Amino acid sequence: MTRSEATSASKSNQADEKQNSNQNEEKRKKTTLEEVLGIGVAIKLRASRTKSYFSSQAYQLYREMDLFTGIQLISVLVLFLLFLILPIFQVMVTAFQVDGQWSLFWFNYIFFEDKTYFPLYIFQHLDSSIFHQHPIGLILDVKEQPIIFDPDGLVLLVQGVDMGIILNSIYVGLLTTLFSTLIGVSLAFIMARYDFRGKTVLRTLLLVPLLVIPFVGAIGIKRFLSVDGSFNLLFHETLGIWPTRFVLEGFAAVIFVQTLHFFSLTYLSAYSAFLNIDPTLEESAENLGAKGFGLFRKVTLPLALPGIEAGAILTFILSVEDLGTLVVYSGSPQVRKTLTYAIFTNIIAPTGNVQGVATAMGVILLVIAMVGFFFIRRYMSLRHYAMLSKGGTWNPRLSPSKWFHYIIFYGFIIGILTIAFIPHAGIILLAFAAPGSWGRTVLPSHFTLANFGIVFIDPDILGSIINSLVYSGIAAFIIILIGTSAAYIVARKNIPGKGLLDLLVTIPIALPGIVIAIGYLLFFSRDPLFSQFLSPLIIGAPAVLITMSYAVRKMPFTVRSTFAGLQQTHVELEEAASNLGASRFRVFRKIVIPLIGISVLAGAMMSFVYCMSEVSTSLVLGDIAAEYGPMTWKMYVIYNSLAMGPSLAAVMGIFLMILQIMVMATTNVITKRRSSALIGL
Amino acid sequence: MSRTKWYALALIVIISVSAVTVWWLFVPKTPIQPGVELRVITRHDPTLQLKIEQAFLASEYATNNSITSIAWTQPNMMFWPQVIPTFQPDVAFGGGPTLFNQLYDQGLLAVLNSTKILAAIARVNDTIAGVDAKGKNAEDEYIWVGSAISSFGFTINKPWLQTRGLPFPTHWENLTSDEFGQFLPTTPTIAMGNSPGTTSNTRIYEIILQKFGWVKGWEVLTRMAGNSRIELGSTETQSQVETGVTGVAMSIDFYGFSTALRNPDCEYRIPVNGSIINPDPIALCTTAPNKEAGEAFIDYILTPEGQSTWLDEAINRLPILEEAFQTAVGQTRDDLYLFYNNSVDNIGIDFSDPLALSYEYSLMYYFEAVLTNAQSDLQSCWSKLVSAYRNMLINEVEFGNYAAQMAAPVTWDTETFTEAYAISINDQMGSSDSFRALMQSDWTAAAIAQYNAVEALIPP
Repeated sequence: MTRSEATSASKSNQADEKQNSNQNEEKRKKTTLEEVLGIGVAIKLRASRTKSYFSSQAYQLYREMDLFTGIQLISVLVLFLLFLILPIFQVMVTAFQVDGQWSLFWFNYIFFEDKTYFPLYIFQHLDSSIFHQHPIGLILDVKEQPIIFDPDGLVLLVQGVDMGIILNSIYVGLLTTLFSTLIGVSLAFIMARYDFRGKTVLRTLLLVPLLVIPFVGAIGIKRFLSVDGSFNLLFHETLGIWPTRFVLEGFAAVIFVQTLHFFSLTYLSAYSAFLNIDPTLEESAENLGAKGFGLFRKVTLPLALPGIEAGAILTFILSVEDLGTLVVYSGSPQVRKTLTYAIFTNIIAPTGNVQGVATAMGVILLVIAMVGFFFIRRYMSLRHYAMLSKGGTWNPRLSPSKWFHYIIFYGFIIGILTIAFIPHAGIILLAFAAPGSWGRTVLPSHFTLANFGIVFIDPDILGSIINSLVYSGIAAFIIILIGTSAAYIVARKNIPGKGLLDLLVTIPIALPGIVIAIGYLLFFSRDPLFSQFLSPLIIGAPAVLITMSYAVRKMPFTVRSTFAGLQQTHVELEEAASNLGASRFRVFRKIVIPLIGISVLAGAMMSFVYCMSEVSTSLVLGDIAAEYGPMTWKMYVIYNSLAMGPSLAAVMGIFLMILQIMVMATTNVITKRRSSALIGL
Repeated sequence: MSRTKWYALALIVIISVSAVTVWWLFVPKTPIQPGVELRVITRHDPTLQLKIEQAFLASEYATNNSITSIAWTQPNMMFWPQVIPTFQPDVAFGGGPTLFNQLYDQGLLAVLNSTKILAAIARVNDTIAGVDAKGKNAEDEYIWVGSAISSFGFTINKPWLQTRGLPFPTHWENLTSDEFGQFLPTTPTIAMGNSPGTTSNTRIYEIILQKFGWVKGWEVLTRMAGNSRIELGSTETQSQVETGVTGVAMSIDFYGFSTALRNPDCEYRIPVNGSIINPDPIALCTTAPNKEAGEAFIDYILTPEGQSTWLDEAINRLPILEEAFQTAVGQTRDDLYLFYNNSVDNIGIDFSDPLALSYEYSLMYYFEAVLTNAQSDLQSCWSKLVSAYRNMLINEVEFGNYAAQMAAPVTWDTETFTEAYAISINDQMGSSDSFRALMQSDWTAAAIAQYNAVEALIPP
C-alpha cells in the first residue's frame, strides 16, 4: 500500500468510525426517550413535536399570506389540480385496473405477454450462451436490417431497427439527443468563443430550425427524400451523381427530422452555458498551464455541462413525446412501434371508452419523461436558471479567427444549415406548388398563390386557424394571470411547500401531451361532477379542454420568464413600498408589474406561439369533433386526405413560421437576446 | 388610478374575456334567425355540409317548414352513441349501413313511417346493383334509406406503375402477384389501410373474404399486405397513391374519383366481378326535437335537386337516384355518369352484410395483429419468396404452396382462426379490452412464427 493509499484508508476509517459513533448516539437518544419517559409519554411528545412542526408551518403560511396572495395561490392550485393532477392521476388509476378491478394486467401484458411492446426474450436468454455470443444480435431483430440495398430497384433504404415499442422510443430519443447535442454543442462553442465575420448572421440563422415544428419539418423532408423525391430525381436520375435511389424511412427518418429541429435547442442551451462561464476560472487554469483541448475538457466543458445536459435531457423528453413526426412517417412498420404512436392509435376502444393498454403505455411514457425531468432539475434548478438568464454579466472570452478557422467554421456551419434548411425549402416549395405540378419532377413545374387562397378562404381550414388563435389567445391570458401569480409566490413568498409549487408549475414542460389528453378524456367523462359540463362529448367542451391543456402545458415558459424577471428585481423596492403603507395588491400593481411586465409579456408571447404549434394534445382532443379541431389537427387531416393536402398543410406551416418569427424577434428585442425564454431552460 | 378603479378595470377585463369565451364556445356561430334549426349528425365533411346547407335552405322544403338554419356536428364515428343523446340531432346523415344498424339496435334511430317520408323513400329503388338500398328492422319497417351509393376498388397511379414496368391491375388477384412484390422491401407497390382505422378499407377486406372464401380470402389479403405499406386510415392510404408514394391504393369510389380529378395520372377502378355497391344511409333520430324538419330534410335529399349536390366537383359522390344526372348540374358530369353506370352495371359479388357484421371486430383486430403488427416479418418472408420465384429457385407450384402456408389463418394453442371461431368471439373482441389484447398478442406471435417457419423453408 502506498502512503497516499494508506492515508486515504486511514481517513476513510476515521470517517466510518465517526459516522458509526453518530449513529450510536442517535440510537441512544431514541432509546433514552422511550426508556426514560415511557412509551405513552414518548408518543405524546412526538405527536406534540409533529403538531408543533405543523403549527410552525401553518404560522409561516399565515405570516406570508394576505388576501391577494391567497387568491393567487388558490387560483394556481385549482387550475393545476383540475387540469393536470386529477387527469394524470386518473390515467394512472386506469392503467392499474381491468374491468373496474385493481390489476397489473396491462403492465404484465406489455412487459411479459406481447413481444411487440418489450423484447422479453432478451431476459429469457440473459444467462444463455446465445446472449454471451451475440448480445446485440439478440436485442436487435436480426431479420430487420437497418440499411437495405435493393439491387433490382437500385434503392438504398435506410430505416433503423425494431427493438419493441418501449425500447424503440427510448433509443430513438437517445440517438436524437446524441446527434442534436454533438451538433449543438459544437456550434455553440464556435459561436461563443470565436470572433469571425458574419457571425451575427449565422447566429440568427442557427435559430431558424426552431421555426419549423418537427411535424411540419417532416412533411418537407419526406417530399425531398422519398423514392421519387427531389433528391433522387436530381442526384440519381438527372445528374447521375448518386448511384442509387436513396430513401430515408422508419426510425432513421424520425431521428433525422428531430435532430434537424432539436439541435437548435441544444445549441441555445449550450451557448448560454458557455457564455455564463466565469472567465477567471479558465484564466486561472491557463495560468497553471492548461491549454487547448485539455483546458476545454477539464475546465470549460465541466463548467458548461449543467446547461448542456439540461438542453440534452429536454431534447430527449421532447423527442420521446413527439407525435407529429411519427404520424407523417406512420406508413413505416417501424414507426408504428413507438410509444407515442401506439398510444395515439390505441386510445379509443370499439366501445368508445379509453383502452387500458393506452393508459398503461401512457404511464410508461410518463415515467420516462419524469426521469428526464428530474435529471434536469438536478442539474439546473429554477434558481440556477435565473442565474443563467442574467447572461452577459461576464465579458465573453473571444478568440480571433485565423484563415483555417474560417474554412472549418463556415464549412461546418453552412453544411449543417444546408441540411437543416431542407424542411424549410420543402415547405416553401410545397406551399407555392400548383396542384399536380410536383409529381416526378425535381421542383414544381408551376407555382401558384392559390394554396394560400384556399387556406384563408375555405371555411373549414380557416375555422381551424381561428379555433387555434382563440384557444391560444385565451390560454395565453390564463397563463399571464396564473403563471405570473405562481412565479411571484415562488420568488417572493416563503410559504411551506414552496418547492412543491415550484415543481407543479414547472413539470408540465415534461409531461407528454398525449398522456394529458388521455387524462382529460378519462377524468372529464367519468367524474360525476365535472362530466356534467365538461364531458368531451358535450357541445363546446372539447374547445374548453383544448384551451386548458394549452394553458397548463405551456405555462412553464411564462413562469420561467417571469421568475427570471423577478430575480433581477430588487425585493427592497417592494419592501420600501410596503413600509410606506402600500397594500400587497398595490405593491404588485405599482411596483412588481411595471418591473417585470416585459418578462411576462415575452413569456406569454412564447407560450402563445407554442400553443399555436402544439400537436399531440391537439391531435387527440381535436379528433372528438371536427368543428372544434385546432389548426395542427386540421393540418394532419388535410395532409393525409388530399393530393394538395401537403401543400395546404405547408401553407399553414408557413403561417406558423411567420407567427413564430414575429414573436421570436419581438421577444429577442424585449428580453435582450435572452435565449432561455425561447426554450424554457 | 385609485384601487377601486384598478379593481373595476380588472373586473371589466375578466368579465369581457369570460363573455367572449362563453359567446364563442356556446353561442351558435350562425346568426340567430327566427325559425326552426335543423340538427344533423354527420360523417360528411364540412365542404359537403356547406353545399347541402346552402341548397337546402334555399329550397321550398326548408321554407315550407320554416327551417332557417342547420346545426351540424361531425364527431368521430365511435362517439356517435354518446353524442346523439346530448346533441339531440333530428337526422343522422352518412356513415354506412353497419353504423346505422348498430344505432337502431341502440335505440337511437326512429322508424320511418310517416306518409311523407314513405313517399320520399318510394323514390328510391329497393335494390341497386343487387344490394338493399333501404334498411329495415325485424318488423319489416324502414329504419334508414340510402342517400348516395359507393363502390369499392382501388386507385392506380399510372406513371408510377409504367415507370416500373408493372401492369395496370384489373382484379384483386393482380395485387397479390410476385410482380407487385419485386421491389420489396424498399418499395411497396400498394397502400392498404389498417382495418381498425378505416371502415371503407374494412369493407374491402370483407368483400375479398366473401368473394374468395375464408381461407383463400386471407391468402389474398396476406399477399396483398406483403406487397403493401399499411397506413393508419383510408385518407392516409388514398394520399399514398395520389402523391405517388405507391402505385395502387385501396379506395372507396369517391376518394378515387376525387383523386383522379386532382391528379389526372390516377384512375379509380372497380375490380372485375369483385366489388359491391354500398348505400350511404340517412335516417331520423329518436332524439329529434323537430321530426317534421328532419323529414323535410330527408325528403329534399331524395329529390333529383338534392341528389345533384353529390355531383359537385368538390364532392364527387354517386347519387342513389339516376335522375340527378338529368338536373342542370348532372348534365355537366358525364364523367360521373359513366362511373355511375359502371357501378350499377358491375356484377357485384354475393355479399352478405349480416355475415360481415358477425365477424367484423374479429376481422379488424386479426388483420391488425397478423398483417399490420407483424408486417416486418411478413414482408421479409414474402420478399424472399418472391425473390426465389423470380430467380427461378422455385417453380410456380412451389411458390403457390409456400404462399398458401405463409398466409393460412394462424393456429395458436389448439385454436385456428376459422370463420366460425371469428364469429364466436366477435362480441368479446368488441367489448373486452383485455380479451382483445391477449388475442392480438397470440395472433401476432403465431403469425410471426408462421412467417419465419415458411421463410426458413425457402431456398436462399
